Amino acid sequence: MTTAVEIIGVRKLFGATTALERVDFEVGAGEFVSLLGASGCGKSTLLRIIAGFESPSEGSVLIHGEDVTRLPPERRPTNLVFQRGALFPHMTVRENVGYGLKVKGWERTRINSRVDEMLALVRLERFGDREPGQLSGGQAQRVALARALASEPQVLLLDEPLSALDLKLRQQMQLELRAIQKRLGATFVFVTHDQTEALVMSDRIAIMNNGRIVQYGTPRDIYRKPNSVFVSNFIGATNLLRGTVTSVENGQASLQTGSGTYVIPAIGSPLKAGQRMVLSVRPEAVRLQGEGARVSGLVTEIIYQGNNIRVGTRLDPDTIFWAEGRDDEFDGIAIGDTVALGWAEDAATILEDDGT
Amino acid sequence: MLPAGIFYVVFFAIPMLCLLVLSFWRAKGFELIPDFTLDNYHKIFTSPLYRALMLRTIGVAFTTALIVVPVAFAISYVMRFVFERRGQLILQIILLSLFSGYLVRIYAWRTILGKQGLLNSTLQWLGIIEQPLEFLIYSNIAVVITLSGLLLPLAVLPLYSAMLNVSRDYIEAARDLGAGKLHTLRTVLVPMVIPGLRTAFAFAFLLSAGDFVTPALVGGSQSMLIGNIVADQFRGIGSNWPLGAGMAFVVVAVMLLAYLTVMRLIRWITRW
Repeated sequence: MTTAVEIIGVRKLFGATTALERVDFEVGAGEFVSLLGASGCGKSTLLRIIAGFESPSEGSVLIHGEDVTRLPPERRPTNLVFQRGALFPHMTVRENVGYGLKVKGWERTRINSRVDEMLALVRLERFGDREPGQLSGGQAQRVALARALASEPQVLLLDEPLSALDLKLRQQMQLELRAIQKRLGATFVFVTHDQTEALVMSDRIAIMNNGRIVQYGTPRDIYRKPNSVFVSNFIGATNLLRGTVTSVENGQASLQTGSGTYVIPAIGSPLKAGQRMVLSVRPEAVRLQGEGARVSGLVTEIIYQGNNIRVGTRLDPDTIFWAEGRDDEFDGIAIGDTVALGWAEDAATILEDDGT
Repeated sequence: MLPAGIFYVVFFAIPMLCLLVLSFWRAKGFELIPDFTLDNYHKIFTSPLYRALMLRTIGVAFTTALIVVPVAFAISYVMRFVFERRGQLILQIILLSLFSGYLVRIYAWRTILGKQGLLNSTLQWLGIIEQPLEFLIYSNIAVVITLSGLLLPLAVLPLYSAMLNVSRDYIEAARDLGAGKLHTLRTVLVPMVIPGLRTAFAFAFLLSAGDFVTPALVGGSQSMLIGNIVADQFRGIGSNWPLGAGMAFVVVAVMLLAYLTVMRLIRWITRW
C-alpha cells in the first residue's frame, strides 16, 4: 500500500496555546481514516493543515511523497467537504459541482459530462438546476461531496460533514459515503467526534486527545485493545476497576481495588507490585455466572433498550458495574437482587492509570 | 411593511409628484403659474451649459464612486476577514467620524488640501515637492477627493454588513477547489455581496452627483456641478422653481440610467 498522506513531526501553536504536539501520522492510498476526538482535541486543526488552511509551526505534510507544506490550498491535490457544506449560494447545483473544473480550465463539454457523472454518483441527477437553498441538509452535503470529488483529488478531507444531520439520515449517509469511497478507491480522511460514526466507516481510526494521536489502528483493534484508559472510555462504554498491584507471580498479578481483588494475567507485561493500574471490562463481555464469578453485588439499575438490556450492579459505594446483553439473558433479574458476574479472561484489558 | 409604505408615500412619492407637476408650470418673477408646458424641459435639453454640467457631474460622481467603492471594499474586507471580531470596533470608530458633521468635514478637507494645507506642507517638508501643488484645492480633483473622503464611511457600512453574512467557509471552499485569491474574490466574494456593493455604489455615486456644497467650498470656477445650478433655481434672485423641478427630474433620470448601467456592468464582470 502506498502512502497517500504523511504528517511528519507537525506541531501547531496558536499564540501561547498548543493545538497539535508533534504529530506523526500517515494514511495509506485508498484508505478511509477517521480522526476521532472531543472538540478542541486538534482533529480539525490537523485536517486544516492537510488542506492547507493552516500552516504547521513545525514539521511537514507530504501527499503521495510530495512535500506540500508550503503550498496554498488551491495548489494541493486535496479537497475538503465542509461541515455545513459551504455550497455557493449564487450558483446552481451544477455550477457548484463544476466550479473546481472550470477554475482548472476544463472545456465546457468535459465539465458537463463530469458533473453528470458526479451527480449520478450521489444520486442527485435531477437536482442539477436547483439552487443550494432549495436542498435538504442531506442533499446539500451530497452536492458538497460531489463538488469536492469532481476534480478527483488525491485525498478527500471531510470535516464532520454529517454532524448537522438527524440520526436516521446520518446513518444512511455513513453507509453511502463508505460505499462511494470503496467504489472510487479514493483516500478519505474524515474528522468526527462521533465514535459510532468512526467505527462504522473507517478502515483505521486515529484517536486524538490534547493535540496528540493517542492510538491509531483498526476499529476492532481500538475497541478490543485500547492502549489507555482514555481510549477505552472514549470508544464504547466500559467498566473501569482502579486499584494497586499487590503481587506478581507465576504470570499472574493481583489487583486490589475498592471492590475486591482481581487476578489478572501478567505474562509478557512489566507489571510490578505497587503500580496503579486499571482493569477495563466491556459490558457486553459480562455475564451472569454462578461458577467462577468474579464480582457480585446488588442490582441497582435495569435499562431496557429493546434489542439489549443493561444491568447495573453496585460493587461498592463508588462503583456501578455494567453488564449488557440480549434481553432474555437477564430474564428474572430485578432491582435489589444479588447477582454474581463474570467475564472471560481475555475480555478484560489491563491499563496504566493515567488519571483520566 | 405598511408603516414603511406610508412613510414612503408621505415623504417620497408625494413630494416627488408635487415636483413633477411643478416642472410643467411656469414662473413669472416669484410667481408660480400652473400650466402644462414643456418649455422647462426644452430649455434644459437645448442648453449647452446644462449639458456640460451634467456630463461633468456624471464624471465627478463616477470617479468618486470608482475611488470610494474599491477602497470601502478593501476596508470592509480587512475588517471582516483580517480583524474578525475587532472589526466591530473599527465600525464604531467609522460611525463616530460621521458625528462630526458634513460641513465640518468639508472644511477639514479644505485645511488638508489647501495651498498651505497639511498635505502640501508635509510634502514640502519631506522635500518631495518644491512648490505647493495648486491643483489640490479649488479644482475638480479637490471635489473628487473631498467627496470621496465624505462618502467613504457611508460606503463601508453596507459592504461590511454584507460581508458579515459571508462565512469564511465560502472563501475557503473556493480556494480549496483551486481558485486563487483574486479569482475567489471575483467569482465568490463579490457576487455574494452584490446588494452591499449596490448600496455602496449608490451612496457614493448618487450622493456625490447631488452634492452642491462640496463644489462650492473646495471646487474652482470650473468645478460647478449640476446640483449647484439646480439649487440656484430654488433660492434667491433669479430663482425659477419650475425650471429647477424639471432639472431635478432630468438629473434623477440620468443618474438612474447611469446607475443601472453600472449595475449591469458589475453583474457582467462577476459572471463566472
